Amino acid sequence: MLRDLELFLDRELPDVECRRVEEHLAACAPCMGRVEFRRRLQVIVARTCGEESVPPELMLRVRRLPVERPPD
Amino acid sequence: MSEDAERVEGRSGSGPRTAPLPEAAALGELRDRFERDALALLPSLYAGALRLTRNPSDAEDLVQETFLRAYRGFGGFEEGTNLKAWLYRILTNTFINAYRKRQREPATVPVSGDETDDRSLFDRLAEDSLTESAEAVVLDRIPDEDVRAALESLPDQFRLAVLLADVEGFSYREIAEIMGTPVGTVMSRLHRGRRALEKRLWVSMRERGLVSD
Repeated sequence: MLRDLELFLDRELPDVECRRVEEHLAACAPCMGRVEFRRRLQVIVARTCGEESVPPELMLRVRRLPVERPPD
Repeated sequence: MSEDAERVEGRSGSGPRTAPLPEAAALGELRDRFERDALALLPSLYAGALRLTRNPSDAEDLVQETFLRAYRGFGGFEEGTNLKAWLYRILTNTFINAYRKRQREPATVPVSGDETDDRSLFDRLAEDSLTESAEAVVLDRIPDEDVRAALESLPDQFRLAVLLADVEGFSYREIAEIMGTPVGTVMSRLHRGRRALEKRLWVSMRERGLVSD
């Protein structure tokens, strides 16, 4: 079940298996707690490690690339 | 239109001539599409570069190199397919080829306790005497910088897998294409990478007194 939960959280389970896990979660508080924990942690990781404001000079340099060097 | 014609003239070095309209128009359209679509992903790619190189200066170089290659190869990008995945593949390859060789692996701080203990963070919290409420509550008390440091402390391949899955939301198959490995390898690196991340977070939480020693 633990391995299935990870696949479930990653949305990599086929529909039939996915529904089986959902049914299990509805009836199993410990597993549901584990799933909710992992979801929350993933949201935190995404938020803290994701999009960063781009330094202005970098933005300028990258924007200039298409103008200076057209595709071969 | 004339601007494109001038550019083509300058590149070829020959005397003044009129560039064929379809070619110049296609180049212009390609450039516009690149500016519109690829540049919009710059914040995401810059964040990825920061997590991979672990310093802002290298991250900027990595991003610039990536976008240079991306722009040059953009004619080969199939419109309608996943542009972010395509860009991340270039970023990953550039990182592995150019930067990974230069950088040492992060010095993994030895964690006190059993090295083979790779329990999930959930399980550790469930057993912790200081954790009174639901395990998820204490997550919000971890400082942002600790989370970033935990990710950046991971070995390259683990860090990459976790970044692509948990930060960028790619599927196993997309990650496999980006990293150039089989899906099974992706799953293994992801599982072990997440466990390593969670172990690192546990250490942080202990150091900050959020959990008992």
